Amino acid sequence: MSNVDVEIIDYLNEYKKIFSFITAEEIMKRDVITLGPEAPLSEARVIMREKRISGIPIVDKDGKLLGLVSTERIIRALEEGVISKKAGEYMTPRERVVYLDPKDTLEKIIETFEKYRYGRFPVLDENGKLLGLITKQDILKAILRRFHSIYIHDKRRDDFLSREISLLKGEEFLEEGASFRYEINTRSIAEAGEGAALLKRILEKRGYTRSFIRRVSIGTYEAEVNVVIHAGGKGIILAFLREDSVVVLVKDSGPGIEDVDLAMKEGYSTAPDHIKELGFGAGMGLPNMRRAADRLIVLSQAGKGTRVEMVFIVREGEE
Amino acid sequence: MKLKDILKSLDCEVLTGDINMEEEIKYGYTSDLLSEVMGKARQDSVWITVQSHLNIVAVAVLVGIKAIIVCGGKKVDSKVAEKAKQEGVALILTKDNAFIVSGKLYEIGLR
Repeated sequence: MSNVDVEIIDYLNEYKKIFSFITAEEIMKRDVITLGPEAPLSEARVIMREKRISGIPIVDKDGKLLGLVSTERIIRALEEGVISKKAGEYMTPRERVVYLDPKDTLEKIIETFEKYRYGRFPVLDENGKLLGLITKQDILKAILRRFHSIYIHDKRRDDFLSREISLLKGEEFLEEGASFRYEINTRSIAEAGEGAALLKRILEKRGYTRSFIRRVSIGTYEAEVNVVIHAGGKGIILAFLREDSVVVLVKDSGPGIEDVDLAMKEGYSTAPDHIKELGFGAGMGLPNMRRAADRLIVLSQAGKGTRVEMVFIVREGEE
Repeated sequence: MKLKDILKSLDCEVLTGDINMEEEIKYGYTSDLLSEVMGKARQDSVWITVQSHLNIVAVAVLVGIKAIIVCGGKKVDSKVAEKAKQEGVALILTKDNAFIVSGKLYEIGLR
């Protein structure tokens, strides 16, 4: 298992509590490609290559799981020159396959991924019948599908799962580890931005470049203003400063964003009129954050608040 | 162009004394939407607006705007001027509207 995968687990780990009520049933892929025990390994190999999958469950005619053939197995079969063997003879047998129950929660699922470090886990019913398969990609997909209220912006969003994401390791977001902490506590919109201004001063002292500081300031200000307008003015700003990057986390326990994708659209705003008259609520807050940050993750759940995570990476040539 | 020279073309009142008067200004930006200013205004510019509440100072500081010109004869709370002084942002009042102010500044070469 590569380091990149380890980091994905760290990343998911950070969110497992937020999404703890998602179950395996909901996450799993249902249309799983399976093979019978009589199929030769060479066939499994072709399917894996063509469908770009890393494991094929072997099932009997009733759909009961007999075992699993993974890429590792195929490689070994090739090395040993037994690729023409039947899958049923060379698979990881059922008793050694780690599987999940459809009712297992996300927390349990992530623990399983961490403990066993396999790429995929089958989901079985009480009779051992294969219901589906879960890979890490499936977990993220399910989260994205179920929650309109998660938004991940990344320049390399498409291969989000295959890149190094060490910046997003859970332990770095412990409050005690923050280099900057500011409690937002004002309902007065005119006063919003105090936290961003304080952070700006700290960044200046630390010697970051002007354009970089501007980006961090814009993102932080917008997130702060959102807390004042939409979340009753109570929230927290945390910043984690490193030489080559700054991570800003803004959390509140307000009503949450109903539809983050919509909120991302420039010009869309749910701010009340008296706020708009003051020049706020132009529907550019989140779009501004997206432009300023190199990575923006917005997690929001109705009634449970919003969590905005912005990663700013010092760009080459940024003055 | 220095801020003090730019202001010669306007009928205006400066609330923040000498602050930024010697600063070089190249650009102007006219908008009343704070987020738009946040996202689009350049550093070292003057900002022309009718907004006059405390938060305009925060926006100016974060964007790197050197001067705010509050148009339309709007009144500004003393707290706002105080904050502007503290943060090193010039705060200027004028009775002219934003169109006139923008036009005048464009004419003298701001972009």
